[in-house]
Amino acid sequence: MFANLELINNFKKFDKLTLRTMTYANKILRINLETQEIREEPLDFEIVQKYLGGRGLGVKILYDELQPKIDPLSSANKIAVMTGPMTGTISPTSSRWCMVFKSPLTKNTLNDTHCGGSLGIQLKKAGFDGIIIEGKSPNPCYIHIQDSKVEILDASDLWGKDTYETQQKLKEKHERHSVASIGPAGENLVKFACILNDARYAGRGGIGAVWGSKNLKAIAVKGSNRIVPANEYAFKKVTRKFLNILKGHPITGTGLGLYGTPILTTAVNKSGVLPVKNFQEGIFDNVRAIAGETLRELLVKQVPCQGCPIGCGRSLKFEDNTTHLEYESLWALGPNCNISDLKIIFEASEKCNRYGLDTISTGNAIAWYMECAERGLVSDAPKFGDGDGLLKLIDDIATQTNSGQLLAQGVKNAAEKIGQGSSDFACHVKGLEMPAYDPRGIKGMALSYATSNTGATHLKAYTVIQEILSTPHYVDPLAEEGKAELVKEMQDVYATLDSAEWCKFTSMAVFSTLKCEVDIYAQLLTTATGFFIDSAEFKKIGERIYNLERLFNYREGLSRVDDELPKRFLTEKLPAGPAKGQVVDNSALLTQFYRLRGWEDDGSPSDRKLEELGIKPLHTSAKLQVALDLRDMDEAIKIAKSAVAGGVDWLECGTPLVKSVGMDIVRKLRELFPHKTIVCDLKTMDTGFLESEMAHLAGADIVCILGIAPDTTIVDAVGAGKKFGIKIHADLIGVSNPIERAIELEKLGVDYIGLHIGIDTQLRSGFDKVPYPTLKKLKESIKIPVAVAGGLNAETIPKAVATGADILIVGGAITRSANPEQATRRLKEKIREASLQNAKNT
Amino acid sequence: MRKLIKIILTFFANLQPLFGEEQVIYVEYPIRIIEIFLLFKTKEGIRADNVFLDGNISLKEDFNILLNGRHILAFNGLKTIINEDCEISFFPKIGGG
Ligand code: SF4
Repeated sequence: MFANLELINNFKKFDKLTLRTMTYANKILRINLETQEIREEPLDFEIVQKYLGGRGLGVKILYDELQPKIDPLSSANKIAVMTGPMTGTISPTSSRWCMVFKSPLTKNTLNDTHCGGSLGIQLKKAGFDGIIIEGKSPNPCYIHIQDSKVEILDASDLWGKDTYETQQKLKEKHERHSVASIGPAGENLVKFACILNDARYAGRGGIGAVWGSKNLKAIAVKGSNRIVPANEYAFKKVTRKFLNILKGHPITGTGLGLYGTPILTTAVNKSGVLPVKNFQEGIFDNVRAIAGETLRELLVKQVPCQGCPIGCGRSLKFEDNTTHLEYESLWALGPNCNISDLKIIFEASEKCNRYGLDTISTGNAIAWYMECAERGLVSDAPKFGDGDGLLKLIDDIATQTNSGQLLAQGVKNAAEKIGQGSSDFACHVKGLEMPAYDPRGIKGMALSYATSNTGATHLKAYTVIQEILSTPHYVDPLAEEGKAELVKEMQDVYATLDSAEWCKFTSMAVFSTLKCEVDIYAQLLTTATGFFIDSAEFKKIGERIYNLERLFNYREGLSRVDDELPKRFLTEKLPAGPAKGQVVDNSALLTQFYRLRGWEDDGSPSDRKLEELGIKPLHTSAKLQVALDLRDMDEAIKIAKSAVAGGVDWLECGTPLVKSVGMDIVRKLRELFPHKTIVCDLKTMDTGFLESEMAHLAGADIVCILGIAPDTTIVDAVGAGKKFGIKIHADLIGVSNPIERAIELEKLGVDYIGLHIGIDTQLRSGFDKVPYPTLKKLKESIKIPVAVAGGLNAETIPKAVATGADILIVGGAITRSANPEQATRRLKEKIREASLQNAKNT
Repeated sequence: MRKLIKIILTFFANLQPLFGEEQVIYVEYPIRIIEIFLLFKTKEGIRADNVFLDGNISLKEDFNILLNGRHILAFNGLKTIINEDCEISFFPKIGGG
């Protein structure tokens, strides 16, 4: 929020022209490597206001454009190379850019990998907010952009060259360009290959392999436009304030610049959570040899991302080896493989950098293989501590030779191949290898890894800041209390930071409590973009992005089981140190986290949450609605709780219940289940507006009216729906010509049609209670979802789903069951199976 | 006979140039952590309470202190009583990732 009147007054000076010169270039470049088509597309500002840029916009584009279940290494995958509204501005740490893509490592999640090299700045200066890269080039190629000139050029002579050489060659050819490239690992489709730009890496998720699969070796860009904020005066002023915050903080003002990220090593080790020998232990005895304090003596020079006043990046020299080494690489190639010899670690790091390999995944894959050897599962792996073996395996992985072929698939896939229980100690989530913090001793990180949409990364919610580094203040790493809230808050804030393209390290100075205050970021964004973004909106944008990513995963078939950590962390206690005896038990935290997020118990975003964020629900699986056609409030609540525990989608306050206890039941259910969709079956025949409003005020999301009611009543109810955001379900009970009436009702604007055989009729008829031919005809005649009610149970549900029912309304099969929770679970499973079958058939 | 315990004091990041990597003190127990600041000094001879404490009663915001790897706030902060051999680690605010 703006506290400063001067800034507000400056905003008033906006005119249309200044708004157009905001920190967006207003164009996206679409390049199809297969057809060689190059196209400029205008930025859609309605979408940009909701997703900002960077990660958010990339996720939105890929969510909309990627077909579900595509192979990430096929030509169907796309890469969104994105800048954010901060990229290239004078705001500190704003050289950042990212790539969003479907990850070959996780197979069915997206990944967003960020980089502090100068490519993003040059791209924006060339007049583009991003590039969408599609298709597969028939031959090795690179993309050359110089302002408006865009071309796809031959890269045959670069193929096979390492990242350093490629950069050098292209820089010689294209003077003062920023070059990003893959190395041999990307060409060889190593699933955790990465990309180098200047001295910085876009490391995680296997982006290098995706480039390689498209025969794309490099991108070289140079631009000459100026990037002008919407309100330059105010932006400069807030930037100065931001800079002062960073300079005044001991971490961003002094510590990171002095020591770089390796300074973490001893603090994490002392806390007993520095993973050693593939996460078997949490304390590295020889830590002094690799400590940040030791490495400080080896500093050649700082290598910051362009224009960063913090400057954590550094070039280090040990004996003959010079390398860029970060904490994560130091750990992955050091303690995790039980290696403390800096000569080996430097050489290994340099090899990874040149080959273009993600060091975190490489170190994990090799450590896992070393453990396989320790357990006698494989015979050709080096032992823990074998430095030469480590170096040889890096070569083998990058070239996909010998056992490197297996490891190049990532630990999840490699363990599935080897079997023999090796998946239990393959340290990953959703296929992405785990970074340098043992989750057993940091409960927030355990939840953060588990619920990250892209797998085990520390960069979606880095609670190490609070739990280990006690910034802004101490939080007990071994306690669960407050962790669900903290993780959610950080995930949302980080998603927006990633979309504006700021370095997350700035947040260590910015957050002043566990609420993760973002006022300064919000002020910078507003002055840069001209959109009014206050702190609440800032977090809302992040929440939207996080939910869209989750929906992408859900569409790919991921669910709660994919939010679990490998068995090692659940059953093997940390053997020593301050976290001795700890394991991960996320079950309660996960449920709490899902509730906070407004997600279903299976980890998917609820329709209600999605609608709140302006995201269209998927409807891949038909919905299960429990009809609480009861008389007693307590009994209804008890059954509702069981049904929710069993995974029911929607709760219906049935007509008898509402008549018996009034609208209080709606209010009560809303209070108990704030994120559940609640249906209020009023069977409205008259006063459509009034009764719909009443249902809305009590907290319902959907109100049921009678389809047989006069059109005027329907129109009034629809009007109330538009005004209050409540959905209208028209029940066809008693309608003699259901198809004709459903078509009329759809035209009148109702949201759902209910095909309903009433209880009295059910009790008297011996025939099929669901009129399948009518249902089929209905589905062919209208586009809005159809709900089916009338004696549905586990036996009849598959046929109803197969015939096209979108919502299954079940009463007695749940409410009269001896175990409503189990009955609900069984029905959900039936629906899921039938929906999957439907998807296969279509 | 007086009973002594051994306390290893370890220092990290930019505290190392001031205090060295490690100091060992032997003290009578029980002893509260806050009292320990009176018992060690920088290389230059400045008593530790002048570096770490605000008005001799609270820890300056810029530092974190771990007792056997756990933050002292997991116990009773500066009032935590020590009555056995232990390691106390002193960190300035650091970050990374
Ligand atoms: S703090 Fe480090 S990673 Fe972040 S922008 Fe600066 S140099 Fe890059």
